[in-house]
Amino acid sequence: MKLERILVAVSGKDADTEAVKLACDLAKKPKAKIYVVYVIEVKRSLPLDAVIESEIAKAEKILAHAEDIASDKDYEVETDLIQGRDAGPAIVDEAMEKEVDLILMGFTYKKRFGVFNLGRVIPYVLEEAPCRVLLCREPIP
Amino acid sequence: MHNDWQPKLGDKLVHSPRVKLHPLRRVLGIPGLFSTAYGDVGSSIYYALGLVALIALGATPVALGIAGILFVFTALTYAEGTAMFPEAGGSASFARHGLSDLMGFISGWALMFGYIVTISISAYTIPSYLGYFWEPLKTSPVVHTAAAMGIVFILMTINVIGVRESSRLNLSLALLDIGTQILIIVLALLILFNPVIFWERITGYWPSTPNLIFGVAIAAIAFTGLETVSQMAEETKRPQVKAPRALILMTIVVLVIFAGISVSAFSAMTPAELGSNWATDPVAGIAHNLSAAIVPGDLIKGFSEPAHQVIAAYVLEGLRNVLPIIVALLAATILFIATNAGLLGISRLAFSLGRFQLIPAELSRVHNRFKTPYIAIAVFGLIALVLQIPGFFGPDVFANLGGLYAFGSMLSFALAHLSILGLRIRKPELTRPFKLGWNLKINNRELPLTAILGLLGTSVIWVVVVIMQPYSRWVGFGWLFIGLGIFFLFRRMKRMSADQSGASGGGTTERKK
Repeated sequence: MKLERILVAVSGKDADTEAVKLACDLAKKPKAKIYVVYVIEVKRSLPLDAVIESEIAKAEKILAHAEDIASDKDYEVETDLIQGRDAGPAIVDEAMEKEVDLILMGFTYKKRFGVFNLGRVIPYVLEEAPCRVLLCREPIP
Repeated sequence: MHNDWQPKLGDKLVHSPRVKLHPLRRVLGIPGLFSTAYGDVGSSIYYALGLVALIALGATPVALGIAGILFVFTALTYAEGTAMFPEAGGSASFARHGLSDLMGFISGWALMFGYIVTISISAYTIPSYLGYFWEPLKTSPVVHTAAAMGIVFILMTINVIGVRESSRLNLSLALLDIGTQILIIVLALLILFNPVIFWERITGYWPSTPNLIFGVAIAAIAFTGLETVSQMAEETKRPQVKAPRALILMTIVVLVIFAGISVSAFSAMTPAELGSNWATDPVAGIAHNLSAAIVPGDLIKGFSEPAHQVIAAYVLEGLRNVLPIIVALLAATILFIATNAGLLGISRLAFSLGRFQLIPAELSRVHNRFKTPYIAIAVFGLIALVLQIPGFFGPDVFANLGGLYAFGSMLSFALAHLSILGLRIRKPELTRPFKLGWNLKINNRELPLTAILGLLGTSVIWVVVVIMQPYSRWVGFGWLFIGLGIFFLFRRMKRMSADQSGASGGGTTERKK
């Protein structure tokens, strides 16, 4: 499998840690480039370029954490902060623009109305991403 | 910042913290942009026709036609402006760039008024259509107005909390809406249209000249939605190309549908009926009359085969029963979405004006938890509610709201034309991804003829509204004076002159904990 560029989409959940670690492990041998992205979802009642300081601060913290994890693994990642209406299209669009070979996403096991649920971002990425998508699920609590 | 990163035309770096890149993720294409805007424009069909007929009677198609020409000129002006400045402010942005901050404020403030009235009038029309299921919603002013106010209140709450809106749902509804409207037009043309009766209804109910002029002014309400495309341009891929295309596509569709619906309405009923019984739900009136005119026994005679006759009778009977229900439900849904679009539009606009220090930043504060501009939504939603209150005391509120919309929108459209002309004179060197043709060359400056005609037309209509409608005049000027008071006071507190540029490109917008 060709692996030159990997995009890790982080969301601030615990699962991000394992996703970034896994990306570093996968990237080491082929010396692939890792992009870590976080998407700030802007509500439709605000312009897309609205500056929401608390969201930016939160995003910076999450991306700094991702950099730290990569640094512990002795690897360097490039972090990007994106504003969009929906995380799913923003991640897919970013992956297409960067021509990545793999999108890696971590997620926490969760149920909705008693049924296992993937949320709304992951199904969109699985359906629309042109490249490979790898999901890393947290153990069932 | 990445070494290989190059800004695309229209991209903005909105924040440059430790994190390297903060681009705007644009995902809308022409279908997304068109469907969102058509949600606004298409919704106006459900009330504009009755409102215009209330005033212009038999001259309704003429009034809509003249307003349609102005709509084309304005859409072209918006196409040039939006391609140059794909940002949330719409005509306020054009005025800020092309004229001054003060004019940007006046345009934005007038635009806000238009949005508030759109919220009121869209919500006010919903109960009329739902009256098919429970008559007091249409016939009782108290029930009608209370229901309309309830709708605005519910949407205010939903928008403060911030609920996700699906662009796929928008596209599906826009297609369903266009499909239903085309079906109504085709059926009306096939079953009801009679050129002699149509002509008699125009000439027999011809209004007085002042009413015709005011009818043209009110007909402008049929063409809301231009601002929506302009606002949404900032989230469109290649807005310089796609926003003008979406505007042109929308203009064509709207003009065709409006022409068809006007002919259908005049084929289905007299202008007097349209302007009285069906003023607030004209499309329901067309569906009602169409349903009554569908007599399967008569219509199937054209088929020679008995099997075909049975199938045709079955389809026609179903259509006859279902058409009024579909129209009632679809109109209510589309108008509900349009009311919501108005609330979203005004909060985005308030945020945009606040960012450029045209209104106090407090209005665009973002809620800590919900991340929505809750003050803007609450304040402007409440004003929309207040505008509906006269509905408790009589039906005049409908025509008055139409006049108010014309006051706000014509002022902002006139300023949009003026701004584009101003930009051609003051900044001819600016890149114009979509440049209007048919230019007059004066002092080595190219001035687009459509913008000049648009400026003249919208200004004349605005003056007509001011002269002929005391309610619009006093409420409209009251709104403007309050706004100017806030603007000058705010600028004084900020130690800025009225014409000083307040462009800062960002700033903290959140409520402090």
